[in-house]
Amino acid sequence: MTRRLLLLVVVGAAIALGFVPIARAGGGVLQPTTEAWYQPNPSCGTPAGCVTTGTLPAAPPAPVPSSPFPAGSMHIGWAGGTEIARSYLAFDFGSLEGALTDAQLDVPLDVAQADGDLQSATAKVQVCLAIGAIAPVEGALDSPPGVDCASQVAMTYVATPAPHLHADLSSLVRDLPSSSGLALLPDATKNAQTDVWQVTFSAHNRIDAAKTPPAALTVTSEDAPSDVPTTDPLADLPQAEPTSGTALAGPPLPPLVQPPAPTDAPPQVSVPTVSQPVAAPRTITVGYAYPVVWLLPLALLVVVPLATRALTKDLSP
Amino acid sequence: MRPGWTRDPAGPSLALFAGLVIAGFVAIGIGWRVAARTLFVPAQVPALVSGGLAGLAMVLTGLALLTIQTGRRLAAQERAQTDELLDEAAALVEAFRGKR
Repeated sequence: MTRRLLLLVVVGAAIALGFVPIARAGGGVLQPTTEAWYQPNPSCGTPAGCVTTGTLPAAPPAPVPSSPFPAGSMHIGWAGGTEIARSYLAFDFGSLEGALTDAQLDVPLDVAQADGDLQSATAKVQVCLAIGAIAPVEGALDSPPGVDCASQVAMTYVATPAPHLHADLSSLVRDLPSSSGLALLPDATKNAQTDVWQVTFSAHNRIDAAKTPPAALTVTSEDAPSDVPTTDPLADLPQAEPTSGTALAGPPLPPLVQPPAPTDAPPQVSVPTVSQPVAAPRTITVGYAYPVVWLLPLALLVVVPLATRALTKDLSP
Repeated sequence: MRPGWTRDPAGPSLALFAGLVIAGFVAIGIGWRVAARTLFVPAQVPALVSGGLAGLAMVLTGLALLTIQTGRRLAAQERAQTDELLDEAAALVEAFRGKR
């Protein structure tokens, strides 16, 4: 009876603690409230200057869709030595209390070529602070909101457990709450003239079947309780397919965002280990987008004799 | 019972060339679709060349072959009608001689 009572108390305390906001170690995962992506206006290179919907003599009768990609997909791209797409993320920092001490941005990628992905593993993206209001636009040709790249952070491509871009925004946390959001744009200093890539990710309100989880900003704040959820931002990502059936029984993959180590943990004895260089995983797909095109010579081989015979045949009825 | 268009000696070949024209339009459509869903000019050029130009070539070749084959068919029909007319004229002359 005593053991049962003790078990009940322990379970009850564990459940209760799970719902109590923990002070002095707040934080959580923020999802964007607004996403936007912009592309360069092709008319800006003409002598007449940039033509936007605001400069047209008459408003178009209906909104002209300027994005050739699925609705709700966001894009960042680089080609021909210039930026071809950039994205903005706005967050509601008002839901957080206290000073931010750390922020980690994870952007799950939609790697379907049909959705606009092109060699996303080679993308060199930087995160800057956005200046100005972020409107929910897709493929807009208007002037994008300004950016403050004085303390920009480079994003890194991570292939497992699912392709995503990661950035440690700890150097931006001081100015992050006062900014209007984050700008994700190609790093012109790191991309070469010959580089061609485009990354695609999903807005939080994307509804089609190819939707990937939206971007997630994992923040840590001090001296304040937090009511925002503290779930793993990439927990609902589709896991990479195992290469064999036995892999299912293998050890679980390490979490993408390591939880902070408890401060009262006993000091661990450091064991000298030899660090081995690990090659960064690269996802390069070699092949043809339409392999069926290789049947065309066979079709030609059939059509040419048929046409020759048809053109030399006596057509008398 | 064979369908009517196959009894025409030129029917199957005309269908083949018409198929070539349709395949050309399909290739142009696929090329447009591939080119329209990306902003990258380097990725758009292959779609333009393979879909657009090759499709245009198929359409023009199919139309040219259709024109040639239709001309041959008309010429063959004309020859047949001329032969028929000559046969009838010969039969008429033969009948006229028989009356005399």
